[in-house]
Amino acid sequence: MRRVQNHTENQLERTGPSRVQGRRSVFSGTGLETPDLDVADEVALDSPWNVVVHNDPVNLMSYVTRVLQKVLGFTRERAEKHMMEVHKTGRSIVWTGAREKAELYVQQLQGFLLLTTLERSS
Amino acid sequence: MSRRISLRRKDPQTLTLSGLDAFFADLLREIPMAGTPGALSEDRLFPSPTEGRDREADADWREYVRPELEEQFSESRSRIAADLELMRDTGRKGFELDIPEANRWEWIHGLNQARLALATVHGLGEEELEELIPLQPAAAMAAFQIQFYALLQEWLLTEFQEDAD
Repeated sequence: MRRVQNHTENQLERTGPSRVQGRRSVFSGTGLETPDLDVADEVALDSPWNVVVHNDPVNLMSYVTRVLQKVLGFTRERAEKHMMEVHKTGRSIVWTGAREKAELYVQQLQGFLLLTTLERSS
Repeated sequence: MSRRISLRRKDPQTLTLSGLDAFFADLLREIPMAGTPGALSEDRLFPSPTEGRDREADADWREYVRPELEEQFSESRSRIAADLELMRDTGRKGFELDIPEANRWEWIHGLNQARLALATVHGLGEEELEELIPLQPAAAMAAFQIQFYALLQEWLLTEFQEDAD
């Protein structure tokens, strides 16, 4: 938990300013300027991200199931369903949502050595 | 003389692995070193989160997240090494190793590190690990080591799963 919290702080520190830079410049001015919002950036901020677990020939099926339970709070049945999807199709989207939280899940799952990536949800 | 390797609960805080001969005791002692990231295994142990699609995100990951993962992985190996220091030779019954309940996930994790690193270094995939195909001696030894570690991992996980259900 401590590492996750540290990561959250790091994430906010490093991604926060760059992502809201347009709005920050408005707040630092007179307050009468028209906000220079970049529509594409706004969409990017709002669009969901997928946490994807990929197949790996070494990780045990029981291990993958247990890690999904531990990190994502899945029931055993739900974790096994995702594990089998990984095993049979090569990948499974285990979570979709805000990027910051998706990054935390990727870090946690990689922390357990599951081959995990982040991708924008289509 | 053949011995039967077993994992049993010694008390609520301790699991004991027993019946190990010198060969298997040595395989256990190799866990921390086998799992230590090297040039050949680091891409698997610390994979890119976007698979190169987002270079900036991958660079951030290397700078901020990877050091935390390295520390976490190192901690697992250190705890395992400390437990292994206390492995005892009981004579006729072979070597015995206590695994503190508090370190169980460290062991599961450390075994996984070692298995992944060995497989990567020796180029062992599903086919090599599951099929009886001829391998060079070093790769065959690594495959055996991976399977032995898998057995231990499975034992530790099984008891864990029973606790969780």
